[in-house]
Amino acid sequence: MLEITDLHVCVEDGGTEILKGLSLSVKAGEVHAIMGPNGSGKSTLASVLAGRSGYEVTSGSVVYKGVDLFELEADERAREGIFLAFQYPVELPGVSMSNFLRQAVNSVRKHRGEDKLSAMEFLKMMKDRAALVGLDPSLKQRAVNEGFSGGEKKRNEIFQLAMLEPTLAILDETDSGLDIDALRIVSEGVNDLRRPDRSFLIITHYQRLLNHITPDFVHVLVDGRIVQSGSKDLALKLEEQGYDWLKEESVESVN
Amino acid sequence: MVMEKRFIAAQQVLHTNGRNGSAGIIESLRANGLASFISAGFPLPREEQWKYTPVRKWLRDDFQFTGTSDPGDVQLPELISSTKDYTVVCVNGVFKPELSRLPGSELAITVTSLQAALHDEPDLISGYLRRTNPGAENPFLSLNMAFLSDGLYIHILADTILDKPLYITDIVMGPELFFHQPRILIVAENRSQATIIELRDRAGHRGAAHNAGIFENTVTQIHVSASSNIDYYHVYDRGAGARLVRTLNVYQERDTTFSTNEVTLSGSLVRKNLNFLPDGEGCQTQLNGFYLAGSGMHVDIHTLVDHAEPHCNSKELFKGIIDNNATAVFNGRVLVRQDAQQTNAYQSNRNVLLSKSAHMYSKPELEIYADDVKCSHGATTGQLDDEALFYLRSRGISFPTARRMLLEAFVSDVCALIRVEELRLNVEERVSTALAGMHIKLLSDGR
Repeated sequence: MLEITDLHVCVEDGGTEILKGLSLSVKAGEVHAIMGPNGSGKSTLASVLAGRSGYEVTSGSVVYKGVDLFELEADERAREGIFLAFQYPVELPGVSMSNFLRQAVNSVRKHRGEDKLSAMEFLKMMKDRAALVGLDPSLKQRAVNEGFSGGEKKRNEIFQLAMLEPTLAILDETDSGLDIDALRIVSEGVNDLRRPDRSFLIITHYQRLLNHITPDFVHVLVDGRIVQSGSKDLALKLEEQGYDWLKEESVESVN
Repeated sequence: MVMEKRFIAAQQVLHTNGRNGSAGIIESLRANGLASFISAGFPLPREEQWKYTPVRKWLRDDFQFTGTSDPGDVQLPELISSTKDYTVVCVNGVFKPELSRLPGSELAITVTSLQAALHDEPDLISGYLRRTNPGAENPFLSLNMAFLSDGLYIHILADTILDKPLYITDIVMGPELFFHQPRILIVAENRSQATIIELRDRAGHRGAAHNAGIFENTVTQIHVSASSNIDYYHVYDRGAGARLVRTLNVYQERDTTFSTNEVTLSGSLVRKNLNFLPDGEGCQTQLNGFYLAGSGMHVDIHTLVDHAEPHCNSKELFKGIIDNNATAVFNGRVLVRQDAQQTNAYQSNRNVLLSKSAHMYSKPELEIYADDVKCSHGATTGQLDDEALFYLRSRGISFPTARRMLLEAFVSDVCALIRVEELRLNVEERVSTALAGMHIKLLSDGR
């Protein structure tokens, strides 16, 4: 589904190199966790995959469903099934949740050759999927993320994931800023959304999200490269021992 | 004075020898107007009030000053045809009762032509017409007076509560380069209450292209007597090329509430002079509005709130979207005189520029002579937020749709202040149309 090969990415206009030869292969239905210390390039990876501007791909390739991902604009990627749950969801004053989601869902459905949802179908879908992450159905009248608490914003991201039914969901530090209960609700929502044809890339600094969502693979990103890959046990080891031993190994392997 | 001479000559031709058969009082009003116009002349670019609007540029045409006398079949604006509310239709500034749907006789309100009103009560009506808020004098006001022949007069008697909104519309039918100078006088007596909408849109005799050469110099005066409440709206959408200089003078007696929402959607020149004089204690004044300045538009909003008395509040919110090579000006003057203690005045002007060649001049002007007041203002001018655009696009929404959604959202809070739902929906539709017509190249457009 997703094949990242030797990806090098800089900050736009000749800035610092952040990803320095990252390779990763994700198959349909797999859940991959990407862990790593601050500044290792985790969020850059998420941004580059989703098509955020401000980055320059200097070499390497990303092939998604057999297509060169960089040929697609951000909105085209989303219609092709890539979804990014934002680390910092954006407030959109004056844009109601229902208008926002109707535009989004219909754009995606149209691309997939599906009919527009009727107003009734759409409302029912909103109600059902909001319940999945415990969001109040009255949210549809509210402006997107405006006045939402930190936890509500994160739940709103997973709610949108449920509405858009992507094939590749990238969760960028969705656990950050969540209390224990919210973490559980969000994780259960994600677990409910696991499908044989839907892959997840879960980017996180801490292991605690992975107590709830069991990954098939755990990768450790240090200084723009994946330095270690393993099973879910790797996450536990990181939780106990931190990232330092990997940083040392990575320096040694470079030397 | 070359430019002025053409206007003066036209005035002489039209109005000497009492051609309209009007009473002497109109002649005297016209003479006063002409005299002040001659002494002032059209504004020069160096004048502070007109610094960013070199208005002479739009006055060079060989204008004609009379409209079609027999308009024949009139095409009403859609909203006026469809509404179930009251309508007052004017053609070339002249009240047409046969085209209007007026309140029944059970409501104490008079809608009549200004000429008739001047005939019936010359002293009272001319007194109102002569009144100008201090600091609100301008040559266009004088010019309008110099050409005074008729207009619209709405008189809401004491304790009258108008049960439905009242739409005023003025259909322009005349030569291509028609210099049109309508006048509206509204007097709301004590403890009255009304919602009034002034709609100037494209509908006319020959369709949209018809307005492309017109220059309107409109004057609306509203006298709000004690304890009255007037909710007023002005929607300007004459279409591409149309020019407007508008003077609104609002005089508020004590304990009154007046609000206006000024919507500007098209035209090549739109200059508004919006003047408010809360001249009694306990007045509430609200000025809201937005302007969508598309290609080739020049929009200039000048507001003046003159707080002369204590315990009054004013609240001002104007927003603008400026595209391509368009220019917009906002000058918000708030004057708090020495006696106006406990004034609470707030002003905000926010703008979004959609291109590198769009211009915005925003100038708050707070002049405060009282020492126990609360006055604040804010002005921002920026671009659409890249991260917000990315957020929408990351959900599959195309770039043009995402941009339109954010722009609609930007003015949505001002739209939400329109309390007449039918009008609000109509305005929102006009906004969508206007935004769709903007062929905009965003600064933030990375592509």
